[in-house]
Amino acid sequence: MKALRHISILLALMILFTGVVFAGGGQQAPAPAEPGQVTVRFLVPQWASTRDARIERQVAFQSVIDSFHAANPNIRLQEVVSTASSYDVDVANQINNGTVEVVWINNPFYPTLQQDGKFVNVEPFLSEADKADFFPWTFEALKSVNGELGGLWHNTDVRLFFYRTDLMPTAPKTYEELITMTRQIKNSNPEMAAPFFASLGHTDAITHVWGNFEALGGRPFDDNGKPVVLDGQNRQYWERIFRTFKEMMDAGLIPESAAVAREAGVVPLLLSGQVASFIANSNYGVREIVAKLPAEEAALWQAANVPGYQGTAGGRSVSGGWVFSARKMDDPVLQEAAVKFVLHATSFMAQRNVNKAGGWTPTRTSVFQDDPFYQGDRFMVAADEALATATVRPLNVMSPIMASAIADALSQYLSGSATLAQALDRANTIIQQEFSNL
Amino acid sequence: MQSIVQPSIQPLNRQSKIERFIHGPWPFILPALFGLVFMRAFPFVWQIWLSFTNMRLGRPGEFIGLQNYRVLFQNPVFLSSIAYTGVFMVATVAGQMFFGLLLALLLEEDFKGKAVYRMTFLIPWIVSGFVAGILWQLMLVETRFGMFNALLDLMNVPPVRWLSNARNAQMSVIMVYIWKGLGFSLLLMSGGLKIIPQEMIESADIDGASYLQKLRLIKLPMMKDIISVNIIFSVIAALNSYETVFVLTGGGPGGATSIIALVMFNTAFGDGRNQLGRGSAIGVVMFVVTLIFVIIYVRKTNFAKGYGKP
Amino acid sequence: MKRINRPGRLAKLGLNHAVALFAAFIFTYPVIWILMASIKPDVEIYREPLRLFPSRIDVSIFQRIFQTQPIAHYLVNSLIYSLGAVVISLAFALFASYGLSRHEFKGKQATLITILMVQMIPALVSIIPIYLLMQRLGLYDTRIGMVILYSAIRIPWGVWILVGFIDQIPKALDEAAIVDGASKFRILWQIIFPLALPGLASAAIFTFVGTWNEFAIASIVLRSSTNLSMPVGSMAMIAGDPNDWRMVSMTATVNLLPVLAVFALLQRHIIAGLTRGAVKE
Repeated sequence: MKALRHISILLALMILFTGVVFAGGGQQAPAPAEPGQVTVRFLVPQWASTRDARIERQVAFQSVIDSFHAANPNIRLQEVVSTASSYDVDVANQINNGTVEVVWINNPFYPTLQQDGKFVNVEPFLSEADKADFFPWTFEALKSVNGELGGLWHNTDVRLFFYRTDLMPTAPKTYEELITMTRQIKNSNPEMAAPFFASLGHTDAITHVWGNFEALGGRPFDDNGKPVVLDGQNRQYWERIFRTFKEMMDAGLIPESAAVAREAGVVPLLLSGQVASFIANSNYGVREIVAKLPAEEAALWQAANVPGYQGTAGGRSVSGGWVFSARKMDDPVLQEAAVKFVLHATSFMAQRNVNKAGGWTPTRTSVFQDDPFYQGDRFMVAADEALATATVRPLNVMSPIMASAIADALSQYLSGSATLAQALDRANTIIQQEFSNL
Repeated sequence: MQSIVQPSIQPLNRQSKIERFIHGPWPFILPALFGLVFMRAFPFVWQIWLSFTNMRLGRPGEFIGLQNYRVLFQNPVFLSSIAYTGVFMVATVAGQMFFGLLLALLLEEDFKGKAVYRMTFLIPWIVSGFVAGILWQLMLVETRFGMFNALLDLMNVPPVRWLSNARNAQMSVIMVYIWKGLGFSLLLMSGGLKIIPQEMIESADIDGASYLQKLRLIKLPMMKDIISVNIIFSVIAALNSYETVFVLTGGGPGGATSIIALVMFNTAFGDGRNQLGRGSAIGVVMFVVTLIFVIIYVRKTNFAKGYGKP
Repeated sequence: MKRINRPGRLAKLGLNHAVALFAAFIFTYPVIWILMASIKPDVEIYREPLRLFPSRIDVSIFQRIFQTQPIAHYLVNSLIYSLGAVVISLAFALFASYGLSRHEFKGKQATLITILMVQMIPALVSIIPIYLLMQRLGLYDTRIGMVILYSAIRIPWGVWILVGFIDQIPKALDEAAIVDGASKFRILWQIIFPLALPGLASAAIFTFVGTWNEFAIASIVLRSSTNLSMPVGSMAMIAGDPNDWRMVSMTATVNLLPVLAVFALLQRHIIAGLTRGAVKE
């Protein structure tokens, strides 16, 4: 039988092939440590590693590693690059299994691990100069979980209002002004899809407006730590915020797709020249506008602090960002080495190189003051100004739950699946239920 | 079934138990059965235990009884996802059945190029759920630059909020799943039509029956079994859909399209708290519902007598 | 057959073709669109949504993703997982279905029903214990673990198809071989295997495509770029820049092409295997 022979050969080849590949590729062996050396493994996502597709990022991350090796000959670094579909799950796994010593994590994921006591308190290792150099809110936020400083803020991002100066000569100070301005733009450019864009579909939305909520007088927790973010006065603040967006959407000033958009949802509009202003991370200036638009079009863009609400303490921005933390472990030598790397990775030199390459915003005031790039870039100048009055979202186990419940409520209200009252009631039910089940 | 093999084996009662075992069927079956039980059946059982604990990633769970279920059935997110999953299941299955039958009847007709047509009808079904999600996300972009809205723009119809309006997003997800799963039901329906004896149709023709009469009185009753099998398969597939909706809407807007599997994933691996215990409870709910349909199927096909020959 | 007058028949033929063409358009247009989108030059994809064919062919994205992303790795991994699952699961399934088909014994029905039920309940529902199991066994984020898992998932399906095929092979053939003194393994290899080849072929193709397209399980069991399968790797790539539509469509294209090729070549077998697996005709 000819077919039989063919298929047998094929099968044999398949098995052979499978065998060869298994023999050839395996797990990466840990970097060999010479006697007297310790190896510190640190976990980063691929887009912030030496394996990123962008050459400038590769160079910047490599420079941090190389300078650490030069300063600490007895410590070897091993970069563990994550391509997991959920970076958070990967971080939790690696910390729990003890397979990495240092992690770089997004701030909403910090509270759970800090609460479980996974991270070293790095405060005793900080010099006075360092303590004065970081933005003070970085310490406050990180210590708000259980009083200990479980890591150091490596980079931040602050919400900014981006606008096209040819359509909007000055930035609005309040949402009321914004509505007037965008109405005019809409009237003179009826083709324009988005006089204003804010991603309102995910927790991004809450980051956009958290500063406004607090400026209005909102207090998310009562004195006992119970979430009251949707009770009494607080609820009225949210209603005002929600209604403003709904009004703008109904008037065609915000595209309806914003109701489900993540922050990056603005990029197609930006690239097709269909947006006059938007709220996003400070890094959108360097990373999207300058990098992707034609130079003359990019030159039209400017950034300012986000608008506030009439009769309140003005627009206040909210910052997020990523944190370097070291895992608690038994081996004191390794422990010390890991903390050393955390300090190094958030040092002046590292913050300057890496943040510039990544388009992020540094957390050390000295970088803003001493580096010409941060002095000259108009978006970074705006970010620096916004950071001066910025608040940070509370950083405890409840805050991600709160943010996602309120964001869902906003999205439901804007997408027409619930009334304002229904959406907020539902959000409050979820928040209170999760709180009682902590 | 008549066994022909056994008598030719030497007298069984003289062999030891071990020898009998070796000459029996088990050496052939056991390897597969081991894999099956260990990797597939055991997790079902383990999951039931996990659902009674408060396990989180990195925290060994303690037994908390029915707490997870109690929380779930008070949780608005879970409850609304159950409601939408129900609607989604009924609508996709009905759509797949209807259009599947329609196309199967079409392919029964006598015209050229049928083989090519059938191949094109099957393409969405061979496309992975992940790619289907990407595909439709790009087709349904909501500014004038989305394919569909650009088409509407040509006809002077204002753009439709395909994915940002809750109702529309729910409909869009259902449409995409009908698009994706239609090929399967088309195949089954075609198979069902082929079984119908040609003589029955011909005698109906002689009696002067119209097309619809033939369909209603002969074809559909003859296909009853295959249609119910088809429905069960589609229901199970719909209940366990995940990746297309994950890519397409991620459950949005505001959880309007979050089907149950998505909630399970989000609880266990998505929201930063990684509550494996509560996620397992959702998995158990899905398992039980699926099992009910599987049991109906097993009975329907009268599997116990002659494994699956209807 | 009833006679229909000529114009009526032509109208009917026209209607058939019209409906079939319309359906074919709906089914294939998005797929063709994304294949074309992946080779469009710069911003054309954002600005001219109704244009199907690119104004000029630009494959720079193809080069870029292969140069800057480990997409070749992902392709090889997916090939390993799919072929591994095909070979291992079918070997196990062939043995099991031989044992089940050629023997009468106590517990046969129970075994068959168990296999059927396990096959019908998707692995997705028990994804959390599967994840924990892989961790405990040290198979988490390993290629060998992924092959084992995928094989185990596909075994019931293989058994289900093959039992039907082997049942149809006349038992007289076995008997003749037994009279000649052949062992059971020789019977399996020399008689059953060649005769069950059509069944094996459709099971193999189906397993291949199913494994190639699998996303949910791989997305939680794999984490490092050396091990990711094609869909999960693509997701990681797209997550890096979801609004680069050219890159997104090129990634989708690279996912699609192997499956489309397999489908175009072996369509007949897939259909046969599917219908046989679902309903025993």
